Parts: sequence; structure tokens; C-alpha cells
Amino acid sequence: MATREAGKKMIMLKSPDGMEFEVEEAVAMESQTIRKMIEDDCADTAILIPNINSKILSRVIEYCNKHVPTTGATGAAASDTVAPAALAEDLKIWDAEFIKVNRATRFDLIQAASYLNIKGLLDLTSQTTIDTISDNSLEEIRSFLSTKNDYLPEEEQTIRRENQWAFQ
Amino acid sequence: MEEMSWSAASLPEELLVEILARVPYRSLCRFRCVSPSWRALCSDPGLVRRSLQTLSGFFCHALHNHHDVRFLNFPGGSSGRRPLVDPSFPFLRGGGYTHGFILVDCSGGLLCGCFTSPTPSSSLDIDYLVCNPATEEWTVLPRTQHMNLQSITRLGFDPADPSGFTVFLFEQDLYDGGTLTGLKIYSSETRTWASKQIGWSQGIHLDNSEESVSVFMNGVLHLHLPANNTLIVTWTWTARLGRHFGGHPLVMASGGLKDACTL
Repeated sequence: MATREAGKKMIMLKSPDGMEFEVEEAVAMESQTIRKMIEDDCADTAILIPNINSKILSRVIEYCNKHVPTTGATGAAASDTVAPAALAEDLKIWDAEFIKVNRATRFDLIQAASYLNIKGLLDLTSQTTIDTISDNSLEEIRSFLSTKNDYLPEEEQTIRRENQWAFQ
Repeated sequence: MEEMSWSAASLPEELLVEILARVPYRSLCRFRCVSPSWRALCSDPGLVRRSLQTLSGFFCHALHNHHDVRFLNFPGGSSGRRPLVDPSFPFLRGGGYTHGFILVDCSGGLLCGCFTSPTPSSSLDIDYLVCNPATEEWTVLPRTQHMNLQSITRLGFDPADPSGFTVFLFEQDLYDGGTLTGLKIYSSETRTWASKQIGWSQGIHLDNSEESVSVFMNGVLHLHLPANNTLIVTWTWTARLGRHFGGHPLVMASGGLKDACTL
């Protein structure tokens, strides 16, 4: 259901739970997956985004809205007046706020970013996850992963010895 | 509680890999201790290769103990102060080299001498390896005469052109104050040693292998000589000859290390 509004081409995105989101084509094309659909002319009507519920999809659209380049077709752009460095700094602060979500939402966002192929969002969500576990103890990591330590005692001794330096 | 009950195990493996690709190498090594399946996941060569950018520092050994190899991170990097690679190179043990090694040279990659016997007594008890500790790849150099721990052996590797490397072996007459008698060059492209006997104009004396400082930069090996001279070895491939062993080394001595370094 591609429509035109104030000169901007709009795209309809549908989540499997029946919600519809009308977004600018440029915003939707932040997703390489959707970009390919549009370029291949597979997007005449609404695009159904499988596996991503409306709650997550709306967050993803929020991210794309913020990150869509502000120059070009949209005419007078913010970047004309704001220095690129300040803009990048502003985005960084916005990202940091955006990613303040619980772990379940963050994992959903990782899956959505991966499926929709949005590199910036995948970087942001993955990096945040890594930052939370990188310096944890083995027990904390196992509990984070809901994984049991199924090494045999002597196996664990060997692997711990081989990687001892990484714990110092 | 809802937060805690959610598990990363519910993420498909390719997304776990996506996340792990952003982990510092040191953390990858810690994660290997989590469980056997995580050991396999975190040892995947593709993953290890992707975490390359975290390796920023240099190798060195203790002053009087070549076996005591250490890795020093460049300060101020995102990596912190802890080493990002295991300087005991466990991957060499996996390759059957269980009797230790010494660092012969370090230049982007590494040149090591690995002992094939617990009590090495001759050069036959040593294999020379060029290895990349970040990707844990290594290759054994074919044996050649004059290659021993007393000889000056240097690695030429340019990270900007990682397709190949060169090893320089300086042949010396140890009974004549270490006079340079020839140069052997190994090329990873031809996988052979080539002897280059060039008419040396006059006796060039080299330091012993421990004291000869060198740097390989922009395809040129600079070797410090006694009395503040520098031996410069450039090794260029003749473009037209391509893969053939058609390069000619240009060897010259220049005065003043300072001058040479600013080249």
C-alpha cells in the first residue's frame, strides 16, 4: 500500500500480530532486507515482517527514524546547520538511552536487527550485551547463558590451565 | 526475576557468533572454559580471525631468558593492560611442539625456533616457524644450512600486505669476527630458500644475533651494525616475473642509524 504524502514515498510494514506501521521508504530502507525487497519490486503492498512482534518492530522503526540520513530527498536537513561531529555525539547519547531495555527486549532486538539486516542496530545491541558479560566470572557467565559446566574435572583443569592468562 | 530467567541460550548460534565477534580475544579464551560446546564455539577460526583488531601491542622476551616470552599491550588501547594473546602459544603445543620455543624475530607476524627435543643440542633439534598468534596459523620453514640460533635470522612481514612473508638469513664467518659472507632469502610464495652471493665490496661485520637490532618497514629490512651503521636490505619482486623467484636484493650499508630511521 505504497502511498505518497508530502512528496515522500511511504511504505506499510505489518507485524505478525496484526499491527501496521506506515513509515517513509527511506526509513524502511535502513533495513537492507527491506531495501532489497523494495528494489526487487516485491513491496507493492504492505510488507509483512515475520517473527517480529509489534512492540519490537515499533522500537526498530524508532531506531531507523533516528538513524536515517538527514540529507538528500527530504530537503532542508538538520545536518546543514549542525556539525557532523555534534550530530554523531547526539546519536551516541540517543543510542545509549534507546538501549536501556531489559535483557529479553535486547535479545529480541538483536534477532530483529539480524533478520532485517540493520548493521548499526546489530552493533549496538551486540556490543551492549558483550559489555554486560565480558568481565563476569565463569559462574556468572554460565548463569547468564543458563549453561551447565559439563566439563569433566580433569578436562576443566586442562582447559583452565591453557587459558589461565585470560583470567589474570 | 523475568530478567534473570531469560537465557542467551535461546539465541540461535549465528547470533551468538555475531555477538562473540565483538568480544576481546581474552574474553573468548575465558568463555572457552564455560563448557565444551562453548569451547568449540569460541575456538572457531573464523571467529578468532574476526576478533583480530583487538591485538595491539608487541612481543618481547625477558633479558636473559628467551623462553620467557611476554606480550605487552599498547597502553591507552581499548584492550586494557592485560595480554590479549597467550604468549605461551598453546596452539604450537597442539602442533606437536611441546618442548618450548624461543622468539627469533617479531615483525607483524612472528618467527620462532621450536625445540623438537627436550634437550636440544644441535640445530637439528630446532624447527623454525613463522606464526601468526592472532589467527593461530603457522608454517614450518624448510631447513637450510647456516640456520641456527647463532645466525641472524629476520622476518619480513608487512601487515598491510599479508599475502606473503620473507625470511632473511645472514650468513657469517664466525671465525672472522662475524663477517657477512652471504644472504639467504626464503619466500613464502616459492617456499624455497635462495642464496644470494653478491660481491660484497668490503668486509661487513655484524653483531651477534642477540644484539643485532632490526626493523622491517615498507618492504625494507634495516639491520643495525656495530659502529652505528645500518645494513639496508630491500627485497623487491620484479613485477613482470610475477610469481617466479625473480627479485634481486639490494644490500647496502649506510652510516648513522638515526639517518636510516628517518628514511
